[in-house]
Amino acid sequence: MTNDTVALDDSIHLTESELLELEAVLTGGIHLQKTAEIAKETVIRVENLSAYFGHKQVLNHLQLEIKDKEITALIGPSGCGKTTFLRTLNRMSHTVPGFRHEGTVNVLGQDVAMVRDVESFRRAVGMLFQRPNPFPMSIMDNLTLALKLFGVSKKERVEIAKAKLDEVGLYDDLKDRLHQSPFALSGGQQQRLCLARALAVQPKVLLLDEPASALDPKSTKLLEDLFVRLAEHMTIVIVTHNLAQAKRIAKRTAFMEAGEIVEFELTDKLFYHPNDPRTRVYVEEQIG
Amino acid sequence: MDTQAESTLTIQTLPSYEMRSYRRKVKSIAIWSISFAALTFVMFIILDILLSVISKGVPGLSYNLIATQTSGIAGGLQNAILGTLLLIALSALISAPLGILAGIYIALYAPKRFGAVIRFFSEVLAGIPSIVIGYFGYMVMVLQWGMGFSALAGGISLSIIILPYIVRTTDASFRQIPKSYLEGAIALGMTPLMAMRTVLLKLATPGILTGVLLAVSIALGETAPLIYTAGWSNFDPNLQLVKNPVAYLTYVVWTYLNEPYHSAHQLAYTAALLLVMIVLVLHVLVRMLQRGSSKHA
Repeated sequence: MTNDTVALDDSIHLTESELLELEAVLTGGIHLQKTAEIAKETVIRVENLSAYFGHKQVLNHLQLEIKDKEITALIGPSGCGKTTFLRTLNRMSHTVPGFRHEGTVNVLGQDVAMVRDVESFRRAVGMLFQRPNPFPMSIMDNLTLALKLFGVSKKERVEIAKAKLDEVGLYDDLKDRLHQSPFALSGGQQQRLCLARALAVQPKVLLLDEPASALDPKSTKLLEDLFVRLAEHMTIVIVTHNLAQAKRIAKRTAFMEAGEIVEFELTDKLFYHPNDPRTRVYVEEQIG
Repeated sequence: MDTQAESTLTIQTLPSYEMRSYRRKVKSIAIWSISFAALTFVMFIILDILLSVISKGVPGLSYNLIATQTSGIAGGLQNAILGTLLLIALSALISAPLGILAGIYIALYAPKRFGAVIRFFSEVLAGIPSIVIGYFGYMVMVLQWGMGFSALAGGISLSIIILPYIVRTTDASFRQIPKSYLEGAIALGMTPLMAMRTVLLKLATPGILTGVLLAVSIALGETAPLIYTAGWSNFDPNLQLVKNPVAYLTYVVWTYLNEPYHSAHQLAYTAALLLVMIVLVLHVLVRMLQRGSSKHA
């Protein structure tokens, strides 16, 4: 009997100090943890954010506060800047040559422009992409690779991997094929695997970039239920083209157009009693 | 009414359906015939080369060929076979690490414009006639650096020739990896270096190895740069890499065909056969690598 086929319940036996140590490793030290507690209510504070690719302005004076343990949706027409905004929150935009921003973006108590340890920061601010992007290695390696690089012991890695796989509802289906390629899985399963992979490094914030747009309705529903459950203990920001999805899962929704936030409100209010005529037109057209 | 008149007019001015279909068939047959003729022509050339190399080279195959060294215009080719292997091994040892690292650098790290500049110079290097590189090797390494005719001077000259191919294939192998892999890794908190090492390199490896093998098969067929740098020796190569001329197969092909002796001609044809055989083996390896990589994805 190999390590990996041990029943899940038996395998999680970390002592409290081990858990603390693990958390410290995963959050890149005490610093992030503390600042997160100070800013418990507002996890992401955006003030006067303008962003540019070269000379082209893509975000224009955004102003926004995102609360802890909530799902916040970003909606708006293609090219309105919502993905750029999302990717600014974990400095992924900053990897694109020619990108720069003005104004402050404060995530987990850190100004993204000032982040020194980008890697620890990105560990705390996880991301799920539009298309599932499992790495070309076994399912287990997909889940444990990052932990291995961050120095987590093999025993702990495997335990975390199984726990996260269970959390996204894949463990029972995949427990006998953890050492097989993830490319044989369905799109929905791959995306849930990627979610488990993102969760394995214990992020405090999860950024979702149209995570279900390539999936069938059933997989979408599964994912949405997961997001709602995850939001009980973390902050989630989701970019979506699917307004019904925003309505189903998001507490607050921001409507963006041409690089600006037109309206940011409780989701129900935004959809049924929008203040701005532009929001009304967009919402009505999309829902029909 | 107007539009009706117009539409009947258009229909009438067009050739009938049968007419058009006939023309199309003629055109299609003509193009197919030309393509087929071109293909046959190319195949004929390849077959002719292969058949003449085989028919003239095979009679020279014997145990003595690989067991004895060349003596004058006769004997075996042991020294040339070992020399060629030594030269391509040296050139691969020098150019593969350099070329792969350079390729990784321009694909993943170099600022866009700088990367373009390096790519441009790499293309230019690939376009330099190999005889010029041989001459450069002679002036700089053989004379100035005092290496003399030697395996090292020849190996370095060959590695200068194949370096751009390795850079280009490494660069291309990394650039064709979808960006989502790198982003996925970085979003987990990996550094670009970690992502490259653990996720991207794996995807690029078949492409890189293909590039190295193809580069080696190019090095294998070079003659001009070696004439200036490697010299020739009737003895097996040894580990003394400088001031020690070395034999190689293309030299045999090049020189011995000009000798007025049957034994010399025979050695030349057999050397050509050996070269073709090694190139074939390398290409089979490349195919196997490519098949393995497509199965993986």
